Amino acid sequence: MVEKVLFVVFAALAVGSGVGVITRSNIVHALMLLIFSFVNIAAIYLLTSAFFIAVVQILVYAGAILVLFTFVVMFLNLRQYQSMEQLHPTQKWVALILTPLVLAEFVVVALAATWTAVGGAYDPETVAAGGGNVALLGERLFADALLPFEMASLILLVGMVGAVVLAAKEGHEYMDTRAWSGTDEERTPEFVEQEV
Amino acid sequence: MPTPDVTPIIPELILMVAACLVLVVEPFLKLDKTAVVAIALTGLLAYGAAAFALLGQDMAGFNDMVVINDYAIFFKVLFAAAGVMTVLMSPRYLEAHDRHLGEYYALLLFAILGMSVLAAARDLMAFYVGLELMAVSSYLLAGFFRYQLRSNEAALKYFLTGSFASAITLYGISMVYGFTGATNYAVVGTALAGGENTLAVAFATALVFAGLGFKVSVAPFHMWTPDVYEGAPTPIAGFFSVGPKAAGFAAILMMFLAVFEASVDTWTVIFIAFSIFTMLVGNLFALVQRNVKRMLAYSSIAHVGYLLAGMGALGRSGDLLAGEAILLYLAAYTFMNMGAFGVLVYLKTQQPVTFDYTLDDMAGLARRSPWAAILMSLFMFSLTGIPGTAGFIGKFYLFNAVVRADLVWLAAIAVIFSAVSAYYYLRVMIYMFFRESEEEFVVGESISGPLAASLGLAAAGVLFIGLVPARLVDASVGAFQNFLGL
Repeated sequence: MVEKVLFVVFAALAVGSGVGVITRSNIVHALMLLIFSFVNIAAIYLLTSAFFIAVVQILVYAGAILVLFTFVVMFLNLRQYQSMEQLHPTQKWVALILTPLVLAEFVVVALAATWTAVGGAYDPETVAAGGGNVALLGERLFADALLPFEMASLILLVGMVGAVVLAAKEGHEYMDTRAWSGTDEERTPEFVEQEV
Repeated sequence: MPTPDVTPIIPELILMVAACLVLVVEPFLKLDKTAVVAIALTGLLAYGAAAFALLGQDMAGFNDMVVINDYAIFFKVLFAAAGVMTVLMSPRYLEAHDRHLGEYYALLLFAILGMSVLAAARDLMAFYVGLELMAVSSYLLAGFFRYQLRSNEAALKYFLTGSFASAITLYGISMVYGFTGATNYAVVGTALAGGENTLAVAFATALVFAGLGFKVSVAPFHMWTPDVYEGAPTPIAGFFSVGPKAAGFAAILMMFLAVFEASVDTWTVIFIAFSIFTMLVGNLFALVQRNVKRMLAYSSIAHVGYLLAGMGALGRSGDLLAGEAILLYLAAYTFMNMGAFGVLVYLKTQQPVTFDYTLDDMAGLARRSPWAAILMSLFMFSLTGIPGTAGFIGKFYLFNAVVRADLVWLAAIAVIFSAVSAYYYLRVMIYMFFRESEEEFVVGESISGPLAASLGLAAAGVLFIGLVPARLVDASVGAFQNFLGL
């Protein structure tokens, strides 16, 4: 009973803030509401004992991706677009046709599909006996899939090195000797920054 | 939890340690980067040596995700050779561009690490992370000259189209996983052979082919190649033209023989059709290029076309000969193409301002720098396939395998296109030997030791494979037979 009440509360908050995301004209407010919506969805995952997905939801979506969105919005200074009603007015009519179609498709599929659980090695009892799904997932990840896991960490390292290579400021001994590089001779970092 | 046996990845571990050492040492260096170059070189040599020492081993590790066998070792040694040549070419070139940073070598080592895992993978997950490690490092290397518009363009194009191709491959892989519930090549192959979803499997095959075809620049997925080669630092362009291609073909051979064995009839037709188109596009566009770097990019597409013909022959006949010929061709191609790019690196280091890789810039080279002209001629002869060079041996074995698979007409097309290619390769020589340079040329500085060593290695490889092919033929026969005994 408690779970049902909690579910309704979290679901209402998630949907409510979701509606807020698409109705706010201030994009920063919309982003904050989106984060709130994601956190509520994470709470629903927790209620269904999907602890790992709940944590990933908060870390990846509410954390990393939304922070990225916020940064981009703040860098681009989108305030000038606020007053505009809509950039592409014809889109409205296309959307008017497409949206009910997609909705109808979802409804038809949801009604027609028969939902059966796929019997695998992991039913609720074995998961509970193994110490919960986070523990089981960790075992699989660090034993069976150890090599891809470690390789993924190397990919992340390369990403960091790349960010440094592409974005770091260089020492001044490099700055003045770039005169020969043809058409791009004025493209010092300062120049690029001004352009942006 | 038992400690995993790391024997199958010892060479890769050496490479990883070297790359991390480069990153750690780099901040302590000022303008002189000799220490970093030495670490990268030692790491690559140790990687190749460790792989060589494991020759004859045949074992799988990490839950059967990677193997060490003669096939994987063949590619590891090949990657080590390409890496050593690239590293030796780079220092003076990067100094001439005021962008000599240690990260360059670290990224190169990481790219080779990804290629190495790609060639040794026996599992779709290991395959994909290897592919991504190679790809992400390559995007960054392409854009290494961040103040040059062309380099930025190269990186952006490579990144956008490359991620798209990776996603397509991944989509195909996810479908395969959906059908079989497994990621291990052998298990997936058996499951697909017994399954029914033939149309869906053919679709997944096509998706994986498109993704991997992008990586090795099969036409019509080749659009990025000339722009990326033109914009990337020249040693890296040379590396791109051999390293990721060899790794891509290592993966293609394994994917299509082990995983998609069931749909062999489908993919044989795909490979033959794309082979003809790729040869056509590569050779025709190469004819009209006046920029030597772009010409080499299109020529590399043409060479991929020949290799695809070999894949078609392999699918049609199931003959070992075709697979061996592909390995042989990749090895020969590595040396001759690295050499050709190496000569361009030398010329650019000599005249950083005026040299722009055009044919006119090559005019009168024989008078100014006879050795460079002679070496370039050797590599051009080899790319054409003149007897006595590695290129001839590669083409001879490859076309022979195509003929043996009852595809005489395909071999005839390939030979005709090879004859066409002579036009644009030999044109470079005509400019070097028979045209006079329009401007006065001042010899900047003599060739640097490492670059000379790199060119010497490439030339020695070309001549060695061309004149005494027996050793390499034995190696590729051993490697491929071992691969089939999966």
